[in-house]
Amino acid sequence: MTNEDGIPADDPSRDDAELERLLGAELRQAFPAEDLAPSPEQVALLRDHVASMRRRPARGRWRLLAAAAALLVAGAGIGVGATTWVGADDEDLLARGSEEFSAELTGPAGARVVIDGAAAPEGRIVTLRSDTLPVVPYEQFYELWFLTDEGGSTWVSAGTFHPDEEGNTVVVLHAAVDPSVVTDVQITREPRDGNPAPSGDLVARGTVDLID
Amino acid sequence: MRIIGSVEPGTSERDLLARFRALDPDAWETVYRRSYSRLVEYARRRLPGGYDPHDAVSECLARAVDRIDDLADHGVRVEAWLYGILRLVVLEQIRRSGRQERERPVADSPLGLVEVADERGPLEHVLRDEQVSSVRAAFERLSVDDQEVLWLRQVAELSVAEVAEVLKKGHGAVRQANFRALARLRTLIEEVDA
Repeated sequence: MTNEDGIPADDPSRDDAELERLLGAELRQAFPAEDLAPSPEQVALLRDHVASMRRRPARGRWRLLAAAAALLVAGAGIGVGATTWVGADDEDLLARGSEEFSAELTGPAGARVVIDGAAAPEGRIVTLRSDTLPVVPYEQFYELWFLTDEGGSTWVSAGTFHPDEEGNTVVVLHAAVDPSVVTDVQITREPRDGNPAPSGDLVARGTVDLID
Repeated sequence: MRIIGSVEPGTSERDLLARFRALDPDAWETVYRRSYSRLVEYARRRLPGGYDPHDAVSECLARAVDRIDDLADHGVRVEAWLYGILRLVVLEQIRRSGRQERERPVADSPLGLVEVADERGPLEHVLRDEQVSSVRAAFERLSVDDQEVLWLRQVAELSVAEVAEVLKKGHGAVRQANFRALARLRTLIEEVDA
């Protein structure tokens, strides 16, 4: 005997399927789809931007992001409270800071990572780029560290990241660190175990070059 | 027949994806309109307080336009890609807000009890509303990860492959996470109802 999905009555997965069917329906009833729609202005602006992007060369398209988001929001008449982040793509963030330092990190397995740092009111904004960091499984991620010798060796984390599935990494991180006292910059591979301490699994390292 | 501002009815998902990738404004409008509500709801549930989910969706679409060259045909609907981008937008805001998790009280949610226009009597409405309240209360007690996988899989009705695309996990991991979250939800509903 089978149920309507053709799952035999003695198949353990039948219980899972039944559970999913029942609770899935309950959830959809508990959270019904709202009848929301983008405004005509939002739709028109999106269409305009899509059309304008189509006229650009494939890799020359980069950059319309902030303008598009800002225009979409402005067109919708919303976003007054969102001026701190709407359109805040990587380039916008960098534009808010002043260029301060750079570093090239290399690793024993051939990884090469370039980072650029800018000083901003809220701290240092760090843009990290690489196409040579190996893709890591879900259970792992990379973490960028700034090492200083203030009060002994101190590791300041600038955040965690992972490459996309094609092995490309472009991330913007924030760090509360003064680059003038940084002695070393490292990227470690970290297990997803909740332990905030560096694992010691070094992937790449380098030093900071301050920009006059 | 052609509907102004959208692709023709009956267009397959694969065709729609191809046109989306080719920056066909009709395809973009179609996807934008059909996914708008659920994207806004997803953002609303996960964003820190003070952030507008409509803004997050606008940001998501703007990034999508700019990064269209990154969209590959993995055999899933384009919404999976958009959810993935929106998820990053939301995570950025969570990070900037300094909050690791967010629990929005049910009372704050515009997803309040919805008056359903049906033929049920008053008692049935009361019982239905009580059940809805139990499910919502139990859902709010789930971990953020459980909420996310259930929202994507059950509420937004993405396929396992699409959820895997959004969460960057394997299909098996998504299936397991989904069923474990469902089991925990069932337990929590029983606790709420007790």
